[in-house]
Amino acid sequence: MDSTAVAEPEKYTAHRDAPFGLRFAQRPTSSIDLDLDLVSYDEEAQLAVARDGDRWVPLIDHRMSVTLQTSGETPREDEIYDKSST
Amino acid sequence: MTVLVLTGRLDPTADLVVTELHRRRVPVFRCDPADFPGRVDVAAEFRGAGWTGWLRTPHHTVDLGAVRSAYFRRPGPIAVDTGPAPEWATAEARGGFGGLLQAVPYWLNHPGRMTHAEYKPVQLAAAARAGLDTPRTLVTSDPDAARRFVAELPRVVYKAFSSTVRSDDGRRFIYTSLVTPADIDDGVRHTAHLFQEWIDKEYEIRLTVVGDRFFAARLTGRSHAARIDWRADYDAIEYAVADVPADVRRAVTALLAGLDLRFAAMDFAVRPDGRWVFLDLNPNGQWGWIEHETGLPIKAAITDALTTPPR
Repeated sequence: MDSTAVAEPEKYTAHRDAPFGLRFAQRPTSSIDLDLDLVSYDEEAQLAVARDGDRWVPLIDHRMSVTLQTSGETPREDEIYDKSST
Repeated sequence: MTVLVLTGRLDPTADLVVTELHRRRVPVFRCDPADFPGRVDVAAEFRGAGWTGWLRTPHHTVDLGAVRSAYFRRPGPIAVDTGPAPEWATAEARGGFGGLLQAVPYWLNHPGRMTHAEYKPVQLAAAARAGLDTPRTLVTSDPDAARRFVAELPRVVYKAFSSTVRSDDGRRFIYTSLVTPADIDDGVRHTAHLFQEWIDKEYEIRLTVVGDRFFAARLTGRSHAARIDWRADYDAIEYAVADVPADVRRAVTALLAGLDLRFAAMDFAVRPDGRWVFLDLNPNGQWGWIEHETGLPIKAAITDALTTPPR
């Protein structure tokens, strides 16, 4: 997988009041679009789970955990690109 | 004792710690303060000797008196968006529910200290005071000042204070980028910008510190993008475990004591002569992928810290 980010300088710089730094905004090609139907939260275990075929497994044991695009409220780059487990 | 874990539901890094706490048979109470009130509720009473009461979700209840430590990961903000006066209700929720959380005796890390330490101007100055080498840095909204700074140094990078930006079609990331004087334009006027001396380096170090335990990973970028900012090309990074020089260890210990942090993820550039130069500190940085890539036992250290807090 090529994980090099893709530059999109035109996305923001066309705006008259665009701050200088926005020209460096990029879309990383390696993050995944998380299908929220494939993840859930086990209230008893207090852990996230992910669908793996016809069963649910702890998210940390799922391949999706390698490159996870979260739905956090205030995500950082390193939060979105989470490589905590495979 | 119970460990309180404050984070969102989708946080695989917190899952690692919760799983380890389960394995050690340590009671855990996990919740997202953003769910207060409704999915998280509280009742606490003060009778002169500390707060007693409970905190509960639909599936778990914890005795507040049993909570000895809290792991502040990535919770959502406390906010009440219903009723006739949501701003007032939010302020009340933060004062009451948030105030009770603040009364937990041991934090990794205390959210107030993290807020302070996240400011790059604060951490750069603190790092220099602690004895670490630091790069020349300019924070400005003035294009002329930016142009002069960039022209004075052999190479300069632009670094965003916040590396993500929301957009109507998803998020974008702003990685550290090389700039020249010709690049600078009036766009600098529209907000604060940070320009920093580029450090010629052999490799970078991600140093994770938990209490007095140091976990250093050497990150060597094998692509142009990764050499400028390894976050831009994770697949081109080579990982190895590294030793921390004694002088760096002493300075980092002083830095974290000064910032009152018990955990930090820090980035260093290592020059060809072996000198470490402090670049950045994240008081709530990711560490799970470092453990995955290197085998460094960070999860165990965090769990140890949460289960054996100082009295």
